[in-house]
Order: sequence, then structure tokens, then C-alpha cells
Amino acid sequence: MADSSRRNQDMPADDMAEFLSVYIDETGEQCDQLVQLLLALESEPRDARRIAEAFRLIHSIKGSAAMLGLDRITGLAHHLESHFERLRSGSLLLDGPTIEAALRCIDYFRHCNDRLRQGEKLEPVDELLEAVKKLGQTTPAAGPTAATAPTLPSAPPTPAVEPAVASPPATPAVPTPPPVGNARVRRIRVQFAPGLAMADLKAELVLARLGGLGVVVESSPEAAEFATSTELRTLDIMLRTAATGSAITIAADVDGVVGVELDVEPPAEPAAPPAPTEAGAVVETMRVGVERLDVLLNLVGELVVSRARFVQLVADMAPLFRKAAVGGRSGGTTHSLREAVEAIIRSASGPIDRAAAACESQLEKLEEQGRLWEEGHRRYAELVESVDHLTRVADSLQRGVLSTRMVPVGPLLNRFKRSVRDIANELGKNVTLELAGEKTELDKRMIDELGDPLVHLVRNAIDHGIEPADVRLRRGKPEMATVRLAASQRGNSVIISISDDGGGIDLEGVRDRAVARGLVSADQAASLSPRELTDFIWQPGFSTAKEVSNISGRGVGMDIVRTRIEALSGSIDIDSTLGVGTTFVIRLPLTLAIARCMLFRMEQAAVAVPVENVRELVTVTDDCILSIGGRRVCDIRGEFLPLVEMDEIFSWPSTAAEPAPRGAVLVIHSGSRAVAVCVSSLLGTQDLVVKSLDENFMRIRGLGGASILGDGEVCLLLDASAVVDIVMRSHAMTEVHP
Amino acid sequence: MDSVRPPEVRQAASAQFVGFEIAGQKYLFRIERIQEIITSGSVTRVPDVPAYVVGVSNLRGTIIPVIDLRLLFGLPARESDANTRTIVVNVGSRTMGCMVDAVSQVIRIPVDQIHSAPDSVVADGQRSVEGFARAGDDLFILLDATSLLDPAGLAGVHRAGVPGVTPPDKAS
Repeated sequence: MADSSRRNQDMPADDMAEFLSVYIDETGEQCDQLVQLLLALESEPRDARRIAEAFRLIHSIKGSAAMLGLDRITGLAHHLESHFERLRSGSLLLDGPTIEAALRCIDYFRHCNDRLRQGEKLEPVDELLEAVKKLGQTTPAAGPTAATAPTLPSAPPTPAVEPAVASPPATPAVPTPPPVGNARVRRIRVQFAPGLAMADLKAELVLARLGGLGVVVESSPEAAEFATSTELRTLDIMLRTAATGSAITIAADVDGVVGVELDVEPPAEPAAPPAPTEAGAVVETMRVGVERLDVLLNLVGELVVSRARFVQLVADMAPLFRKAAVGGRSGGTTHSLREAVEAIIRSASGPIDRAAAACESQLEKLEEQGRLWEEGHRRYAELVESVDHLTRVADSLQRGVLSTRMVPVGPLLNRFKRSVRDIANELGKNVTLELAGEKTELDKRMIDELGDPLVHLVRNAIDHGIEPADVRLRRGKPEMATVRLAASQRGNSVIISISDDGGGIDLEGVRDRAVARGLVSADQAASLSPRELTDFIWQPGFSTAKEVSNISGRGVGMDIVRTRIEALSGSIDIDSTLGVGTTFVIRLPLTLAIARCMLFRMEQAAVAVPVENVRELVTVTDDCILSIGGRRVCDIRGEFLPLVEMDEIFSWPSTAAEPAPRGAVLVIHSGSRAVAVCVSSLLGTQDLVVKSLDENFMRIRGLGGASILGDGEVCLLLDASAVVDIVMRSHAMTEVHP
Repeated sequence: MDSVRPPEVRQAASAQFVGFEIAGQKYLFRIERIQEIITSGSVTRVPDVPAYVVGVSNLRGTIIPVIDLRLLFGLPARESDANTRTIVVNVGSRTMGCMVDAVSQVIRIPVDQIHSAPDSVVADGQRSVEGFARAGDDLFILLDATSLLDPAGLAGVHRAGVPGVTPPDKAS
């Protein structure tokens, strides 16, 4: 039995740590893929291509685990693999229990990864192992009526025409030698006689002979290095084989070999870094710690600031040089001055002589100055060029570093296939999950932070959004509900939407609830617009559910979801139609660290708004401005938006009370809500490195942080979502509803 | 013989402070709290903060708040001049700037010259007054930067007014 106790049971040797992290990453990814395959197979159990693919993945997990001597994983994977082998050959049909068991195995593999990461021992899996072993026995062979896809009664059954023959059997990653079952990895050390002639060829022979017994996983030195090795004395080989020790010894003992050791300890010294001189050794991918990327990003941030400073300096110098109109004019001036002086010297005599001579020496100095100016001007032109170059390089570097942090949202979204299935089963609802835009990329940190809010929204959609089956049928909807997770990039933002085709938000319920909770008076509630009512969803502890279920009751509330999203400089909006469904739209910046902003100057400070929050910049004439109940509303092409001065949003200590002349109106939006803000002097757009205000100070409502401009001045960064909130709220208080 | 003893005693029982002045009154901060002293550079005003917060400033890439201690103590504002300085103080994990009228040099004061604040002063909400000290002809108020500049404590300090406006003439 493969799970019998062995030397390094459960705990990989120390020097395997490097392999271990690769193993953990790889297995993690393979588990993700397996889950997807299994879930797809659940509805189409005869999909031969997917079965073959699942088989290949299990086989590969088994192989890697065996390499590390993780026997429990190997054993479990082995039996699962055997079962899938039979499924692949068509002698068995994939059934519910198999999928269940396979999912449990994957859970175990993932659990193992967690423990391995923490250097803990793996837990035994005997019970699960038994269950997996029994899989083949409980299902009658080739039973065509096996309970397939019991959870999907309405799905059209796949025509049972094609057994597994159609697609060619997937080739496993490693060609498997005949005795699949008991293969394990042996470490073999072959010693050659000192000064052996043609040692490289002998070594190749050893490898070839051992290859006949199984698969050579690794050799040290590698075959390609044999010829270049100065003296080949020992050859370490990792061989995956089922052959006996004596068979291996015989195979390895070619002429010139003075010793063969089996199951040697792996070399104690850390493997020398792969020789960088080796032309063939091309590194295609590399795993880099996120913190290293963060350091790089911070440095790039500093670079962006100093680049801005250079650009600023060059811009400031330009008029100086222009005004001095160097070269030509000053050269001309000194030249004519010199002619004049020389004329005086020629025509005059006596006491003027000395004065003229003094003039001449001064003139020489002036000429020297002029040359310096010219030199300076030439250098300035070079400087301008260099700064341009620096700007281009800095921009590419910034894009490059940012792109290293970008990862596709696919894995994040795919995780929900499993959760949706589990939650739906738990609640007895039939739900399919649709995914779109898995290739959309987002900052790694955001991906990490998005998990929890998304889980909550998805749970919420299934628990509260989707109606029970009978209600759905009564409403003429398909019994199978759909939850859709879609990601897309729009400019500098990434949009993630979570929609369901459920009942939508019951606004009357929200109204009652808001009154019951004392959030508004009954009178006020009666006049609230649908959008205002919807906004109550974000109130802490606000729920329209009659009872807190164990699904939506645990975890975070909607208010926390919003807080989390806003902490990522994002926004979230709801679009809901009663009886039709609800869509949550999350809008996030591509990255958190650097924001492209529109800058304007107020009397008190320079202020920046991320460009993705600027919908437009318009000039507004007085006849477009209406005053309703003391609040101003601005008509922008037929859309009435609240219009405010910055001073209405923020109160400043000791503000000079004279209103600045209105220059333009900036339409700031967060999600679908927008407000118009008067700004006086616009400074243009600039990439800003976002710095925290509360790190040393405190959070200020309406400000998302601060940044440093090219000249070292601190500018304030608006938090568009909070600004919109502030304006909406102050307007709601006085707005007169017709 | 006695040339050995006194320095030892003094060394063990004295502490270093940075002295500064606001409206003619001299104050002390413990030197361990001080990161550096800078001439007041450009300060960007921030909204929705009490008047004693002058704004935020760029300290080599870090954004720090600048507090005007005059305004914090409820004294009238005063134009910055050549003597105006910002003392950069470390308060917990935060770094903050304190604008003061002038900074004198580092002072070493024997511990036995420092008298703890009378209860009446502390009860007044002036927990930031750590004590009083006399050095030469000057009477200093020793301020505890942490409780003075703690964001939660700032408001309390402001309400209580100038710490130790009427320091006891003879510390008990």
C-alpha cells in the first residue's frame, strides 16, 4: 500500500523546501482546474475530454506528491487516479458519489497545502481513502442508468451516443512506464572511477539504462552538462520506477562504475544556483514575492514624483531662456558694443585711452558671459531632451512595474463555481453561475481583497435574491436561476458585476424597514425616491430578510462590503428591478498605487480628482442653474445634477469668504451617481502617487489621501464616492419633492 | 574623591529636553520624542479640521500634519517669522509637526529639578502637562508630546486652553 509508513512520511526533507513551494503553487492551480472540470462534469458526465483532463491532473498531482515523498497525498491521488482511469476507459460511468469524493480529495489536497506551507504534519486520510477505494465497487460497471447529475434535473440529458472513444486519450504530462501502480521515486547515486575515460558517455549510458526501468525525473549533473563537466565522479538521479532495488543496481552498474547507492539522502548543500552562463537555461516564468513588487512600486512612485519635478523645472526655465533670447541677441549686442569701443579707441587719444581700455576688458568679460550663456542654452536644450527621455523611460517603467502586479480575475471568479454550487445545494435552490471576462486583469492586492466582498454578494444573491423554485415557476421564470459574475475593463477602471435573475429588491420592504428602524420618519419615507431607498441597503445592520439565515447571517454585512470596496478606492452601485433581478456593479481603479488625476487649485489648496471619477468638464451658464429650496441644481444637457462649490463640501478654517469666480464645472461621479462641482483654476492632469493622510494624521471625510506634486507641494486627493455622498445627503435634506 | 561622585549622580539623574517658546512661555519636550526641527516650509491646508491644524506638509515624501501649538492652546494666531520652527515629533507610530514661536537649544535638566504637575492642573484636562522645571532663571512647562498630540487628546487640550498658564511659583 502506498500510504505505508516510510522514511520521510509526511514531512519532506529540508532541502526539498524549494520544490515544496513549487509543489504547493502547482497543486493549488491544478486543484482549481480540477474543481472546474468536476463541476462541468457534474452536468455532463460523459464528457470524455474532461474526464481525460481530470485524469491527467490527478496523475500529475500524484506524480509531484510522490517526488516529495508526500505519501498520504500520493496514496489518495493514486486511488482516485485509478478510478478515473476506469472512467476514462469507459468501463465505469461518472456518478454523483465520485464527484463528491473527488471534491473531498481536492479539499484534502488544499488542506495539505496549507499545512505544508506552515511546516505542519499532514493529517491522515484513511476514511476518505477507503471511500475512494470503494468508488469502483458501489457503481455497477457500465451502468448506463447511474444517477448522473442529480442536481440538474432540467438540464437536457446529453445523448448517450458516444462513449469515451471520440477524443484521443490525453497524454499524461510524464509518459508512464507500464507498472503505474507502485511506482515511486528513488534517489540513486552512481560513482564513477576516478579519471575514467569517456565518463560522459558512460553517464549517458547509465541514464539510458535506468530510463528503461522508469522515468528519470531529474539528474545531477544533467545530461547536457556531462560533456562539459571537468571530472564526472558522481551522478545523482531521481528515478520514478516500480523496479526493485537490485534491478536498479544492475541497470546502473555499467563498466567504469565503482558504486551504486540507492535511496541516498539528497545532497545536503543547497543546490548551486543554475549557472547563468548556460545559454540553454532560459527562465520563462519566475515567482516573485508581492512585497518585492511593492518595494519596486514605491520606488517607481518616487521616480514619478521626481520626474514631475524635472518636468516642472524645465518648464520654469523655458521662459528664462526665451526672454534672455540668448545666442544671437546678446552676441550681437556685445559685438556692436565692441565696434563702438574700438571706434572710440581709434579716434581718440589721451585720457580717454584708459577709459576705453577698461571698457574693452569689461567687454571681453561680457563676451565671455555671452559664450557661457550660449553654452547654457545648448545645455538647456539637451536637458529638455533628456527630461523627455526620462519621462518616456519612467512612464514605461511605471507601466511595466504596474503590469507585474496585474493578474487575471479568472481564478477569483472561478472559485465561485464551487461556492455557488455549495450555497445553492445548502439552500435547495437551482442556480447556475455564468462567468464573463475572466481574462480581465486587476492589481493583485485588489484581487486578494475582493474575495470576501464578492462571496458576500454572491451569497446574498442566492439567499435573498433568488426566489424559491415554486415562486419562480409562478412568475414564469425558468426554475434554474442564474447568477452572473462579469468583469471588464473600461478605461482606467475595472468593472465587476454580480447579477441575479431573482426577485429584485423589495423597495416597499426597505421603506417599512427604514421607518421601523427609525432611520427616517414615515412622512419622509413616503417621499423617498427609489434610489434613496436602495441606499438604505448600505446602512449597517440593515436587512430586508425577515430572518437571518446561517448563510447571510454570517460574514460581513452590506455596509462592510461597501466599506471594503471603497477602501480599494472603488465604488459599488445597485441596479434592481422588482421581480426581474438585481445587479451590483463594482467599479475599481486598475491599480491603487498611482492614480491619474485632474488637478485644480482652490484658494486653500491644490486638489486632485482621479480621472476615472471625472465624467466631464463643462462650462455652465447662469440660465442652466436652478435654485430649489436653497440648493442649486445644474442642468447639464437635460440631466439635473446637484451643483456645489467646494466650500460647501468642505469647511476650511478661516476661509476668506469671497467666492472664487466660477471657471468651470467638474462633473464628478461615483458609480451611477454624479454631482457637479464648481472649480476655478484647473491645472491639468498628472499621475499622482497616492499617500495616506491617516497614517500620520486622520481620515478626513471626502478625502482619499494626499499626494506630492512636482514642486514638493502637498495636494489633496478627493474621494469621489464620499464627495458624492456628502453632496447627495446635504441636498436630500433640503430638496423639495414635488 | 568628590570629583568622581557628582558627575555620576548628575548623569544618572538628568534628562535632555528641547526647549521652545510660545507667547513668551517656555516649554519642554523630551528629546526622545523629537525627530527633527525644521523651518516651516509649505503647508497645505486641509478641510474639516480644527483651526489649530495648520495643514499637511511634505517631509521628504511623507505627509505629516502640522499643528500650531499657539492655536491649540487657544492663543491668538501670529504671523510666521524668522524664528518660527516646526518641531517634528514622533507620537506612537505617527509623525507630526508642531509649529512654535521659537526653539532654543537642547537643555539638560537634573531630574530633581522637575516637579510633577499639581493635581489641580491635571484635573483641568491638562493631562499633557507632565511637570514644571526650573533651569537658571527660566521656568519651563514640561509637555508630554504623546498625550498632547494624540488625535483623541487634541480636542481636550484645546478646550482646556494653555497648559499651565498659572504655574505654581514654587513647585511643591
